Amino acid sequence: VTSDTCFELVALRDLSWDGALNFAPGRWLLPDPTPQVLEALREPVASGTAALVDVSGKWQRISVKGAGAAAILHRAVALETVLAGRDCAALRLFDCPSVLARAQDGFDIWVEASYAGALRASLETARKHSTAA
Amino acid sequence: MSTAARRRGRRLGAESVRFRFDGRQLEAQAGDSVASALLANGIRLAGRSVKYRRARGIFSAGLEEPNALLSIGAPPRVISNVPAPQLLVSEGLDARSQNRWPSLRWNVHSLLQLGGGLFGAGFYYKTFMWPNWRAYEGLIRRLAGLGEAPGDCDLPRVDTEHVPADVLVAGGGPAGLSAALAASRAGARVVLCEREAVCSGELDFETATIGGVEATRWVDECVRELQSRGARVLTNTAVVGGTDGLIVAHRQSGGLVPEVAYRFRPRSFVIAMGAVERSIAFADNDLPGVMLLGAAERYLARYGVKVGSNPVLFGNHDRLYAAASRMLAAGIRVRAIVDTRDETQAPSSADAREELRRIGVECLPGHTLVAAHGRFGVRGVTLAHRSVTTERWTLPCDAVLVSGGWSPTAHAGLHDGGIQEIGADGAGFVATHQPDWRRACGSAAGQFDLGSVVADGWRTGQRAASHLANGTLGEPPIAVGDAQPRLIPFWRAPATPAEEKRQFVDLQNDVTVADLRLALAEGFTNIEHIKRYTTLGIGTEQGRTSGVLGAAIVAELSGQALPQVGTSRTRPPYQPATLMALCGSRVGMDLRPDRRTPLHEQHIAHRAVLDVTGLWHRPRYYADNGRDAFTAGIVEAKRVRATGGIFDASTLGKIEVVGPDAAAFLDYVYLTPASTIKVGRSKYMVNLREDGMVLDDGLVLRLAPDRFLATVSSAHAGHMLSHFEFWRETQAAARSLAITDVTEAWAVVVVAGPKCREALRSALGTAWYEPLSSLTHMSFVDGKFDGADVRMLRASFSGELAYELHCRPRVAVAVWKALIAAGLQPYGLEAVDILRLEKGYLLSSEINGQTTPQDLGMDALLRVGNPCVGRALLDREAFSDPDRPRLVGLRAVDNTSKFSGGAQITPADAPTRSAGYVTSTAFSPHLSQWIGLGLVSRRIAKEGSEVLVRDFLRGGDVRALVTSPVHFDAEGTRMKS
Repeated sequence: VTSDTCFELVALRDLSWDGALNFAPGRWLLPDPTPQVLEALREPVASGTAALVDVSGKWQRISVKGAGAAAILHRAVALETVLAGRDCAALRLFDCPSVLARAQDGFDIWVEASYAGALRASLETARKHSTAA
Repeated sequence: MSTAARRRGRRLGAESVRFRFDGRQLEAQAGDSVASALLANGIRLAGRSVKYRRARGIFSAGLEEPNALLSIGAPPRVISNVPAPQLLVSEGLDARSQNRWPSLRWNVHSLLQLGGGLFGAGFYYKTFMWPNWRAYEGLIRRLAGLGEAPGDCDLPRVDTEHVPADVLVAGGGPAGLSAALAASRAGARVVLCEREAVCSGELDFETATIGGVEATRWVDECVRELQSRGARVLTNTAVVGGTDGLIVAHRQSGGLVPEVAYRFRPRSFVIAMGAVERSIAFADNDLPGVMLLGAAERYLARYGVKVGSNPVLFGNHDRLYAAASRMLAAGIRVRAIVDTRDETQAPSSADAREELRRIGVECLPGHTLVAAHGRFGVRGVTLAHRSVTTERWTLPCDAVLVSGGWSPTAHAGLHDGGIQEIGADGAGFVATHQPDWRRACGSAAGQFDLGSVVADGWRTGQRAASHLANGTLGEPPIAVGDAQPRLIPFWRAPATPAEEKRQFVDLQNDVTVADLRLALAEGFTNIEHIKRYTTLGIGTEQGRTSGVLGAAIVAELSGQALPQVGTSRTRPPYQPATLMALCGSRVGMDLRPDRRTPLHEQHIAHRAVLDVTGLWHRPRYYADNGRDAFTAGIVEAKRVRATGGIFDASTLGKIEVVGPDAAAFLDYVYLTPASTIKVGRSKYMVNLREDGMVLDDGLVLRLAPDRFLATVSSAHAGHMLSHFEFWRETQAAARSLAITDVTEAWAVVVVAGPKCREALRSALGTAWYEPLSSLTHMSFVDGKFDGADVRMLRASFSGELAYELHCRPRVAVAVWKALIAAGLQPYGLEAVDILRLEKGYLLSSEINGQTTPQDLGMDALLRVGNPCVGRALLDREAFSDPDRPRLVGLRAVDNTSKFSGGAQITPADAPTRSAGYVTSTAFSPHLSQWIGLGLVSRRIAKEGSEVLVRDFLRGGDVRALVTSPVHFDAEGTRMKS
């Protein structure tokens, strides 16, 4: 799924922001932000506390859901280590630059759009292997 | 060895299985290893040694097997050096012995034994010097090596799986099981890896009870409890190594090739990999029929195979007697027990000796076995009293079962730090100085009686799970089995110099005591050097049986203590792994992901021939324009100059730099300042490396006072982002700026050619009429297309009037289609290269990491004098050297000759003196000749001078003229029109 609009929020100074998808220190991914979210960010951006960069089209979301979701991702990454103490991380998943986040009943992956086909293929192969195992 | 009827073995199924060994059809039982099946079929000759081609039999029952290495499959899909004890028999398996010709029994190369005295350590280095090595190389290479390398091999891919674990236990013997159970009961997530098909370790054959029940039952109950607690018990899975907290294990169920590569990052790692039994050196200790004592016990217990009907047991510890009792109970007539310890050194076994003597077993404490006899198998042994070795006598027997003690498997404790130190018994090394998260237990830690092993495992498991603090687990289960072996080190039998040449220390590489003595005599004192000089412990055996034995004999021969000598360093993998296992499942075309632009499907629809550049799939040319790249490229380039064309430049790297300090930061990382760029304008900018070399170039757009967009070349996009991040972190950490990769947020369509303005008007609509009329060169304007952001930048990489349309990916296809509908045709990389070369624009062949701004003719940029990264080093004297290269244009003097990139350039009057090289060439359809760019010594880089372009690989010399790099429209009137 490609979001219509997507922003990356970067803290330039101490920013108190507890939004989801905090994929790196001081960095958040904001797919399809609501007007309220954008409004809340207006002041920090205006004051130079944060920068908001429009990255619409950069990320595509792939959801991996169900009982075997973790097993599929374990073909590529040590989930427990990567997500230890957090719900979201930036990483290379099957060599594709991604943001991995826990989601209800599985995981959401935001992958750079040009890699989306390759990642989907790798996930599909991993699904077959984990099913076979 | 005997072919007596088999007993019932713990690992055997009821069904029969047929397989072939060296073409001979044999029968085995399900569960048999090839080694056990060969022994059960009375086959004792299983291989030939690598150097002397001596007859060798099965020596061990595990991975440590030095002799019985097999080849499976037919070339080119052959898998070599598979240890017979590791390989499970399967229906139809075709196994072949190695290192023999024409057959295993009648082997011509065995004649090499006759020169055994000559072929000492370093023989090859010393001998094959005259007339030169090449004269012998062919023959020696045919004889050398283990097995045959696979050719065009396509082994199954190896899957990778990351397995979460709090506690990882390597080894499913009594210590490992005990540790896993303790950790699991403490609440830890436990994974246990066992190299064999079932957990058990020594409990396969040791008469023992644990926790009040028979040991084998305890093992079964233990595994069941572990599984019920959610622990994973991975059998056929060997831990092969680790680094930086990552532990890797390979599952290899048939013993042939790995199927899964497991990766663990456990909180605690318990090493319970047991110990490997080692031999004692005596003359002809390599005869088929000489086997490790523990191996013989394993074959009996696991597979019901008696490896001899009247064996002699030879060793230096109490376990000889327990083993003899078990063999007698199985109906084997033990001929004698030769114990190197005398009665006073081995009082603990006095009762056992008396009992054995009473039933007719000859017990010889204080004796040694001097030599074995036989041709293709043991037929007798020579014995001597240790104190009077000149008095010798022979004893007939059909096997020698030898045990010189055990070497703890310290491997995994040494792969990631850790030091080897001598164990408590003074006869083996254990891994010490372990990090907090890693600990060895059981016999891997030098414990050799079952009670201690189980207790040690339990305590270690508890400590490994201590972070969970789930209270105390109570006492470990009481284990009663074989007592302490009470070993007294004994490494080799007394021998004459002639016998030392037949006292084998390393069976796989034919390293003898004489070789070690020779190495010492020749000045090799460090065990690492001795290993490399003699080949001790190399190959698949990796010193498992020979490492400590060799070190101890070196110590004895050099008058040192064993700890002083030490052993050589171990490295992963612990067991041989195919390269495929190291690669993982993604190989070949799947090795790296491919990247596709939003316009990929459009290129396919226009019959593009795609190239993979970096990871990107990019159109090289469109097949409708010509039968090959050369033809189509010319057609497309001509069309752009004549009317126009469109090009997908979405791969162009784009980095947005935002914040109050963005301009200052860019001033620092670019050769010329960015702060002077006005909003709505762009500038050609160059980055330098810290050493002054040009790193990349591109346009920088000022989107707002505090917001810039830096475009970087497609190939350097990732690297440039890292470059920016590096300088931001190291030099501008306190500054307020954000660096964000927006490459994928913008598709880029380049519209170039004299009629592109009209096409854009038609494609984008009236809203863009005014900007199209007013936009000056290097300016940009933001707008919308179909509701999405579009940025129009007037810039040119072709020398033509051109615009870059940066548009959101969701409208990229619509923009592309609108431009096609407006009459423009796409062009590919081949045409881009022609167009940019005609204009003298640079690509990575010129910005190649070895060129400075001066070399590339960027003098105007240098004159700005901006203090940036790399600026300080540009004033180095070496950069003013008149032999430094200078970018020039090149054209053939005769206007017709072709020359190629990479060709050497020499002065016309000195054709042997290199003065540079050609970086790029293309046939210019507009000049109707081959043109090029080159980097040429400044001494001759003068326009109009003649040089010689010499192509030694493709042949031919071409006389060329040095020209300006700009071959076409030097004034730039076309792009500014």
